[in-house]
Amino acid sequence: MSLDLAWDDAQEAIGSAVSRFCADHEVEAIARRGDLPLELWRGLAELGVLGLASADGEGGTMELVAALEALGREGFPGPLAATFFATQVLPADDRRRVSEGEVLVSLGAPPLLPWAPRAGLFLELDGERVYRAQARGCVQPVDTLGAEPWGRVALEREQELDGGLRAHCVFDVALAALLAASGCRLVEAGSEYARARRQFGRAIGEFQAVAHPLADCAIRLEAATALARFAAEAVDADASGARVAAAAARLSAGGAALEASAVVHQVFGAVGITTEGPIFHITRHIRQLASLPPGEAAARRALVADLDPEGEPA
Amino acid sequence: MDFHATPEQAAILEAVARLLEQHAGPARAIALDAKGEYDFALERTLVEAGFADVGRSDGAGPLEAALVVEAVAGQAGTVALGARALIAPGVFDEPGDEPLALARAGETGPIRYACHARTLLVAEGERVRVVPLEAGDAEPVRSNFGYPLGRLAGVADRGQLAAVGSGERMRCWWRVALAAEAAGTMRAALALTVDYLKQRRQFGRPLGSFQALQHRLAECHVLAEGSRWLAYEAAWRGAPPAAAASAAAYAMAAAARVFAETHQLSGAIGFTREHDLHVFSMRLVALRLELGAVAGQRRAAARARWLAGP
Repeated sequence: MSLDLAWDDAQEAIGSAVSRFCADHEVEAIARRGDLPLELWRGLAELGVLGLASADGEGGTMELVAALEALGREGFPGPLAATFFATQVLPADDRRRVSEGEVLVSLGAPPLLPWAPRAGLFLELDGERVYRAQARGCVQPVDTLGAEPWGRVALEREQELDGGLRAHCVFDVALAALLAASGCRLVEAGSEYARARRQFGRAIGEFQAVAHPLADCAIRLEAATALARFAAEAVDADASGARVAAAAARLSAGGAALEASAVVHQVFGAVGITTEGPIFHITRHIRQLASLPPGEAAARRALVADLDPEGEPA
Repeated sequence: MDFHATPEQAAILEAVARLLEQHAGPARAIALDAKGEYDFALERTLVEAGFADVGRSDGAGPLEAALVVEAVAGQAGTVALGARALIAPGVFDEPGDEPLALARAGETGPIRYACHARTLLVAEGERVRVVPLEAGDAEPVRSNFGYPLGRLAGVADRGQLAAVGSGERMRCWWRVALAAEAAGTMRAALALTVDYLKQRRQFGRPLGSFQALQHRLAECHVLAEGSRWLAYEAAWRGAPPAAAASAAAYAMAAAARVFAETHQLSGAIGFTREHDLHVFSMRLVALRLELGAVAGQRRAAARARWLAGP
């Protein structure tokens, strides 16, 4: 075991290419609008991001994490984690359409599904099983506070798909990377603001009640980032502990990012809750990510199954 | 990146586990604690097998040392292995006589292993003061923590000061050692708790089948895993200040949660001395109090992250 968490040159290059892409395409403005133009999604596909970690794309889960950390920092919109779930289980033809950005994926259990009004492909979850499905009748759009288009829809199962275990692993790792990176961006913004904003004659960051929670968030996010990278490596190595590692990464990142949202909103005060403010589009995104199906309960079940508290006493 | 044990690491872990099965464990820890003793026999066994100094041997390093420290903590070894295997090699070429006890300058509280240590390392600003100890320097302090503790008096100006920079190196490695020990201790406490939840039945089913309890176990597991990997990573990277402080801050916060949850989940039996949980849980409390407690680790993390120069 060697434990260099730093990216190698290729992974570094993926991360900076993605960051450049986001800057060139004014992703921040788009994220604030809560929009997802199809050209942007296709552009991401052209960059090769949507094919990462799949059977015919380049790169593995670790490269995917490198890309998602860059996207998470921007609050990049779209069904990212669901896309990478889908490319693990879909047959080659569908997989190509997804990884080339032709169709958006909606993943979950009916009736309420994320991205359903815009989805071209539905994956229905039923416990550990995964089905390719079709919408029966029309999708009734549901507005969400997180700005993602969700919808109420009835599904008709077409085909049960294999590879669900690996797909859950990649999904959890992807979500962990997005959440941890979004959280890091928040804490950086919060600590910068705390250094600049003055009250009672000094920077608010000098008050322990401001500084300690920020430091604590930074540490928890660092742990989550590390767990996501470890889990990615385990998935790529097909290690037996991959499912547990991925679940632990997701739970760790979800908790840390939500905690960071609360703390950083506290630091920013009123300016934090305006839509044009510095962080609202990120915290909204974190809330949305943290509530995506398959929910945290699935990750907890995976962890608990490994601990086996119901089994025969050892 | 490669996070899987190499064949050499797997061999070390397996051999240490076998050795600990024979020479350590909660029952032995309880017996030693009753007499306030140090486990010289275990230390000798670990030294003879080459595990105590694995960090100084060819083909191994601090990561292997951290794995051993974690494993020994997981079997409640009553030995100052963190100091010997991780801290001393990270600071000195030639440490003083073993065992080693650790202190911060100006500290007046009880110190782990003070009554049995032959050398005291004091982190004194930028330097380490290396103080040879003699019989009678330390007064034993009884406690529930499960480690033999002692209070030292009149040793503050004895000994030699090591080079400038050694103080910070010692604090960093101390944090890594604490994180590794806490990781092993947390895992053991959780394993006992899981076992109890399998045995204990309520409402006609094992406690462990209740989802509310399973979720709390899962949270603890995540915390223990995070602690473990941060400790490994900090050790592997040679204990840079930010990584070491993060590992310790995370592990000490996790230890607080794991302490509370394992006791809550184990109910009344967890408070008895018949059940082994206290061997590990009380050690978690002691570890948390070392080196400035959680607040100290967090301050160090904030300093390293935001105030360090380029």
